Amino acid sequence: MGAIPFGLITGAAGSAAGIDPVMSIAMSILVFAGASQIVAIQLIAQNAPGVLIVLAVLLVNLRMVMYSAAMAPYFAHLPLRWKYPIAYLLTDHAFALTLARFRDNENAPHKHWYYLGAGANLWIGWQVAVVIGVYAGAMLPKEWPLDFTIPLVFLALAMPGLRTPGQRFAALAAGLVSAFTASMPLKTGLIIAAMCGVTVGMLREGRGK
Amino acid sequence: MTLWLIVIGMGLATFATRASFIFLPLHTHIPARLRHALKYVAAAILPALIVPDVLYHGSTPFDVTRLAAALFAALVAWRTHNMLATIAAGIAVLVALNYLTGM
Repeated sequence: MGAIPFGLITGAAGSAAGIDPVMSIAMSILVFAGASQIVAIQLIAQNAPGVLIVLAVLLVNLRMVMYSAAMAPYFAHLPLRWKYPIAYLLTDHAFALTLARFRDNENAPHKHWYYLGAGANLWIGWQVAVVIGVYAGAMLPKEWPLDFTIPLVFLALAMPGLRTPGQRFAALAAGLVSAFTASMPLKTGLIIAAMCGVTVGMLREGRGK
Repeated sequence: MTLWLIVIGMGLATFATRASFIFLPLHTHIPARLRHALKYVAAAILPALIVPDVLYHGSTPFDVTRLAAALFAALVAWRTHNMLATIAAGIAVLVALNYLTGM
């Protein structure tokens, strides 16, 4: 999946939802995580409460904990001033680009420099794409069904992640429950549906053993 | 102002997930149960966002054209793992169906 088109879409989604360009760009710099930025844009446009928006962003980004755990041994020896930029730049792409290389080359020196170079490149590409998307998105005709790109982006992000039966069961259960909890106040149905999905996925996994 | 607070909260929450194990002392391992739960959070949260968005768009109680377009796009996403192809497929089907049904 290319980060550049994803960034363009994320920027355009912010404009389509009527979010101030400066706010969209500030969000992109502070959060720097595409899927959760689009989730937040969607929930802000629906006037969801702030606590729920932050919670949804946290849930979408919980996978970063796995990445953090996998990368930690390679950066454990570094001082804290290194760990801040390393953590900030940790994304799906940075993880995929660097972990395989680190594993093949356990003793290579300057791993942190390699990681930082990859991360900085991805960061610049992402931010430029978002800024272009924000301003280009504002110029697109209002009649185009651009809001429909949001669920399509989520589909493209979700499908490759459904590798095991447990994950497929989790996805089906969450999707099914969400169809019935959608009208619950303050968008709480989203959290309930996600929790049901996680539970079903873990139960299915337990059964498979 | 409130929106700024929300965005800063989003930034802090995201940074916390990234910093978690990188900031912990060496040889702290991720508990097995947590690792299992995390695999399913990612799988569950996106469908929970997609389904209501596709089904209950705007004033229509049940949007059949969007459902058909999304199902086709899901097939494309599954086969290609390509975001642009997925978006193109979904939008093309939606625009075609809207045109055919005269909406």
